[in-house]
Amino acid sequence: MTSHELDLLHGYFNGNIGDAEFAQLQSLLRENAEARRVLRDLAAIDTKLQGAAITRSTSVALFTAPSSCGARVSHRPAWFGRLGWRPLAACAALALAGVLIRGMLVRHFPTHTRILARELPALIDSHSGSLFADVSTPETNTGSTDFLLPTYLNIHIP
Amino acid sequence: MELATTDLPRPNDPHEDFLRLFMRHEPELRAYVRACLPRAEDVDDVMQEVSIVAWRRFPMLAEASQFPRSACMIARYEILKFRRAHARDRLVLDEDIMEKLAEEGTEEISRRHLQLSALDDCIAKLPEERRELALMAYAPRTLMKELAARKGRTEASLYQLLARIRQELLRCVENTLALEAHTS
Repeated sequence: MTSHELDLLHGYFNGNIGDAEFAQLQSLLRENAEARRVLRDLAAIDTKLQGAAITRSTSVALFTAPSSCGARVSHRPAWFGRLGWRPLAACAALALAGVLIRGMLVRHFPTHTRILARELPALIDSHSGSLFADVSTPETNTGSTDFLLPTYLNIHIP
Repeated sequence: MELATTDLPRPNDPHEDFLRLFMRHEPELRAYVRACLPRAEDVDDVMQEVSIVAWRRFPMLAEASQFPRSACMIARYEILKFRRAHARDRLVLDEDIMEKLAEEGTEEISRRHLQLSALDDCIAKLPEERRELALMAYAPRTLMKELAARKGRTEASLYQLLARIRQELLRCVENTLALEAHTS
C-alpha cells in the first residue's frame, strides 16, 4: 500500500478526512482487499487503545478520588476554622434557652386563647341576628357540632 | 470471606454460559464493528444491540464454538441497520463496502483474538511518551484541539503522530504473530 493510501485509512479513524479523500478511500476499499484487511487491523488497534485509555482513566480516577475510609476528610466550611467551636456552641445554647423559656411562658400564659375568648363573643354580639352566628343562646343551637368549635361559635344555618 | 450460594458457579446456567462467551469474544466483536463505523462512539450503541440479540438467540446455538461466528452475523445485521439509519452522516461507508468488510472480518475472527492479545504487549513496548500521548488522545472526552495545545503541537501534527503510533503497533502485531506462527 502507498503512504497516501495509508493516510486515507488513518484519516478515516481520526475522523479528519475531507469529502474528496473519503471518496478516494471508498473506491480504494471497494477494489483493494489488502486495504480492507489493513482497515480491519487498524480498527482492532483503535478499539484496543480506546479500551486501554478508558481502563487507565478509570483507575486514575479511583486512585485520585478522595476516599471516605482511611484518610480523614474534613467537611467543615472554611469559616469554621477561623471562629472555632466555642462561640458557635454559645450561640446554640442561647437559642435553645430562648426556645425553652418561650415554651414555658406560652404554657402558663396562653395569651392568644385568652384574648380570643374575651374579644370574640363581643365581636360576634355586635352582629347578633345575622345569618351566621348567634352566641347569645348556645342552648338553642340545633346545628351540627362536628366542627369542634367552641360552643359560642356554633353556626346556625337557617 | 465466604461465598454466598448464589455466587457459586452453576453448571449449565445459560446466563452464565452466555456471559462468559460474550465477555471472551467482546473485544473481537468490538473491533469487527469498529471497522465498519466511522465514529468510536457509535460502536457502543451497536454493541448493545448485538448483545441483546445474541442473548435472545443463544438458546438456538448448538455449540459454544459457533458463538463468535453467530455473533458476527448478528453484528453484521446490526451494522447495516445502523448504516441505514445514518446513511446521510459524514464518513459513512457505502453498504457494499460494509458488506465486504463484515464478510471478510467474520473469517478473521480467530486471528483477531490473537492480534488483540499481542497488542497488549505491543502497547506496553511503546516508548513511554508515545504511549502516554496515545492513551491521552483516546481517553474519554478528550478534545484533540485542547490536547494539541497542551502538548505544544498543532492538531494536524498530533493526528500524524497518532497515525504513526497506530502504524508502529500494526507492525509490532504482525511481527509478533509471524514469530508465534514460526515457533509453533
